[in-house]
Amino acid sequence: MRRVFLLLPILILLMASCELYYEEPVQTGTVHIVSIGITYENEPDGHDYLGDLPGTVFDARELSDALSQQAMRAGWDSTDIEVTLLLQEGTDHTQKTFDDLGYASRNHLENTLATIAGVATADDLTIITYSGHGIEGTGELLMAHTQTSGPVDISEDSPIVVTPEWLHARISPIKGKKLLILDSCYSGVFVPESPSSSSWVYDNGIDDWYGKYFSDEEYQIPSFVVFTASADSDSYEIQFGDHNHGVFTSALLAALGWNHTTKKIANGAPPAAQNELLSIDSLYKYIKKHQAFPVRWSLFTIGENVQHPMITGGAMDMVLFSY
Amino acid sequence: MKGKRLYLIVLLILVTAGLPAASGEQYYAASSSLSYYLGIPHFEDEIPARSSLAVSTTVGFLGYQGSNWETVLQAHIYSVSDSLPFGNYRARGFNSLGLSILASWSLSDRFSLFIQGGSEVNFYKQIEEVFASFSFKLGPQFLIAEEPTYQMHLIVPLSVHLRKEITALQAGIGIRYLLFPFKRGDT
Repeated sequence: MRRVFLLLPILILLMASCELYYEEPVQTGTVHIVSIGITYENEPDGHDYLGDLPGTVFDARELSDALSQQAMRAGWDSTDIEVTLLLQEGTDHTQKTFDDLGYASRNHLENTLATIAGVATADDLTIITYSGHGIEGTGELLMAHTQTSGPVDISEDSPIVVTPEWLHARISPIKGKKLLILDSCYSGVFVPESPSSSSWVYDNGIDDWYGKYFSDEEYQIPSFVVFTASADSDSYEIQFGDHNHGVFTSALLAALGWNHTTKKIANGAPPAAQNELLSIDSLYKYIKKHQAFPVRWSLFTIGENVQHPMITGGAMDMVLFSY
Repeated sequence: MKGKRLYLIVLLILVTAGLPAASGEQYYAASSSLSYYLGIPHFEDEIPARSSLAVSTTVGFLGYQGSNWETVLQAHIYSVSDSLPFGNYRARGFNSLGLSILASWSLSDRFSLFIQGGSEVNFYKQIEEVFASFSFKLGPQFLIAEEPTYQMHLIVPLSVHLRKEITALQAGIGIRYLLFPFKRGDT
């Protein structure tokens, strides 16, 4: 028994100094930012099957700016930050528009992700943001259409539909840390279920929690984190000054210290940072606290739209920037 | 069905633990301790272990003390902080709520050893996720104050927290308080 009492503290003391004598990895690679914004205002022949989302392009432009400025604040050189905007705005639906490399079609997204996958290294950080429609129930994303006439095809096999499997298959090969930010309805379906913990936003019982403990699935540290505007419900836009933003994105921009007038981030560490560290959890915490709409139903929020952000679960939080 | 089985097991533990309490020196207990929490991941991480701070509180509601031993059924609450930031990740902090059984044996008037085993559900502090775990604790306890109606011990718990993806070792220090609602010796 005495040996146990001696050995255990010695073992703990030896391992306790891990943070002290291990060399801390410093992220030095390229930051790739891909921002997608689609207004759906260009349906051909006067059709209007897809509601217009005027705030999405503002979301994409301002989020990419805020993230790249935060990367520079955290020490990256501007030449090591690559921003790609994939946008659809206005009513134009000509082939010339569709062929523009900055048009937010599924093909252009696939090509962009393949290009990043070809060059990214383990030291890189890739951030992909999407502001647009999500299909009710399935959460599938709707990229900009490429039809010059006729109603837009949004069937399951449509070339504009992006399923979680499709997107995960193209992001996973990218080396380094990856963050996918989705501001769309039902986007919670893109968050992969953790092998080690259960979300209690969805209905899980205590038997599920213990079932997961004894399951054969293995947890791996997530190099790919998903951060979404809503769980299994709608997400919304709000008026913000002279333009619209997604409710989630406007809170995210605030978390990054974004000033809508100057188009610059505030001095110092962003409001969401904790101890000079901006992690996915610290952004999540800030958004839940400051989002314009409540995150869950309660007696005090009857009649209000509820929008609950979601995040990749499990034991580890990913550090985005340190200052 | 699995849930009903679990509730039945918890009920059986409660009834079994309550039996001796009705026949002798029943007590209630409370303890609090502060520990260093060393999380050793089962997955590939940037370092072999990450450091956090843990605060533990227990409330024993069914305790019985014999001549040189005692046992108590207790509810426990843990709060574990986020780990120290290191590299690209840090371990998420969580709060726990669970049930455990503690037993101790006196080796002298002032010194005894205790062992504790239990299970808990753990709620991450920043995200709405929950996980189940098991924990075991052992250590010495030193009697520092005693009256007919209470005892106070200094404890030095060494613990193992068995999570699915992390095994955590803890070492700490704390206080344990035993309250005897019936004066000891009375029946």
